[in-house]
Amino acid sequence: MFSPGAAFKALKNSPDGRRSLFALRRPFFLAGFLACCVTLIAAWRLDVRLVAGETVSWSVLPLLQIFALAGACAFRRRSLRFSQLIGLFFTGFGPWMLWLIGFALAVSVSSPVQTVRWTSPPDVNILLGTLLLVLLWSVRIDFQFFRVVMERTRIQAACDVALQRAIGWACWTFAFYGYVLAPLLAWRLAH
Amino acid sequence: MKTPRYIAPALLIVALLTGTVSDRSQRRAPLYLGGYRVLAADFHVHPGFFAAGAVAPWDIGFLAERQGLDALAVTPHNEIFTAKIARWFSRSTGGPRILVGEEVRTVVYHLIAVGIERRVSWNTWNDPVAHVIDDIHGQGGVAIAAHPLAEFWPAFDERAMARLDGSEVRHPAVYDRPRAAPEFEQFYRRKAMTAIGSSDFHGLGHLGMCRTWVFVAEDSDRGVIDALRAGRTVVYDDNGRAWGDPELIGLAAHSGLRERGIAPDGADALGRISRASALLGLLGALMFGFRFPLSR
Repeated sequence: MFSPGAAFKALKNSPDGRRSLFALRRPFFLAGFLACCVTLIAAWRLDVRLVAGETVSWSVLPLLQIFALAGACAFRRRSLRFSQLIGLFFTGFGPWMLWLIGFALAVSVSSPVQTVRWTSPPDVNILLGTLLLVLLWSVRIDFQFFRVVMERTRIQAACDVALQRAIGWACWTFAFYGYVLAPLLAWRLAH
Repeated sequence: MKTPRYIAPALLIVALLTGTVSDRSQRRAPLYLGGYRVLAADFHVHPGFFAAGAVAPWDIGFLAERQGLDALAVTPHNEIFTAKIARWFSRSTGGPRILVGEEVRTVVYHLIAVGIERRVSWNTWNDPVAHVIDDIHGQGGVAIAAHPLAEFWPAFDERAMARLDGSEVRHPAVYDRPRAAPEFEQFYRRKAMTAIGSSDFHGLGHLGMCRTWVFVAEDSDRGVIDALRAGRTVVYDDNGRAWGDPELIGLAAHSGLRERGIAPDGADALGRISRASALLGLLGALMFGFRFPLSR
């Protein structure tokens, strides 16, 4: 997480990073991790049934990320198989996971009323500020992924990160908020 | 570095075991007052998938049961299929009663439809609220003004108000916006309406943290809709102030109804152990990796 360039170099050449299973393990770990955090936030404890159900539900996010990665890596020369790229790419989700742990910790030591207050200013601005830091951190990691693993130039790597983010976030925004955005967009277009 | 890789899954197993054992249904013995069955209900709940919620539709019923809710309306934004998934799962597993709903969310107003079977027809920029409510009534449902803050009032003209069945008088917005509570109350006083308390649950806070006590003549979907249409509800705020049918408020005054509505806060010992072990386990898994004792 802290020196992504060196970490990707080491992982790219390690036998672990070249195993096909490595590709499945990381996205599945992310889905399970998200499920645990959502269960902690919603139910204030881990429950087997909720974790199982949420793992299925939150598998959508890694799938969308894989789809976005495929879009960013399409037609690019590469020395690794796509399955290996998936495994390496998903090692870069550390900052988001760390933020989620912090958020779940904050929820678990707060009352339900306090957590509701986080959704409006000024609390929401603090929340968004921390998310911005995480975003910048994760962009740095993904930039190194495209530089080291995909062997791209600095400008190409920056474009790849932007493309991967654009595809992934557009899909995610639609999946999470699509039916809310549709009437808003229609209204904006009409006015 | 190998030992911490075994500690993380061990902590997560402890978290799952203690969390599962302590996570019990809070459903209580049925309460009857004045010849009515009294149901704890939440009529504004957002599931995951296309509805801006964090919890999957198949887990909503399970979670509601843990908060002592007997009935709820699952109300995704501008669609209903996730609500139907939630209802199907809850019925299949013997969970609480789930009514299919929709939060009709436009730029100028938000409206809750409860007890519908197809998406409410609306046209974002030029369909008046009255037409939308007619469609809801045509499907046999009821229409409730969602968190009616002052900015939404202009959309509720006389024709809309004449048709509107109920209004959210308690909603989590009262905790973070000082103007919310008086504005909800002012809107509620515009005409005789059914008082509704809803959590607008997206994932944060507790499902049912603001809830409605519904007095039903028969414990069925139709019974709940009929009670909402007839205004047979009581809603409490945190200080014990009540809204709703004055006769029912009087009936409920000495029944301990308000105390029944206080949701569990996860403060029991096992719940705390589960939370602490889960957070440490997740942090350990992130920092040191994850390895089960039997894996090579």
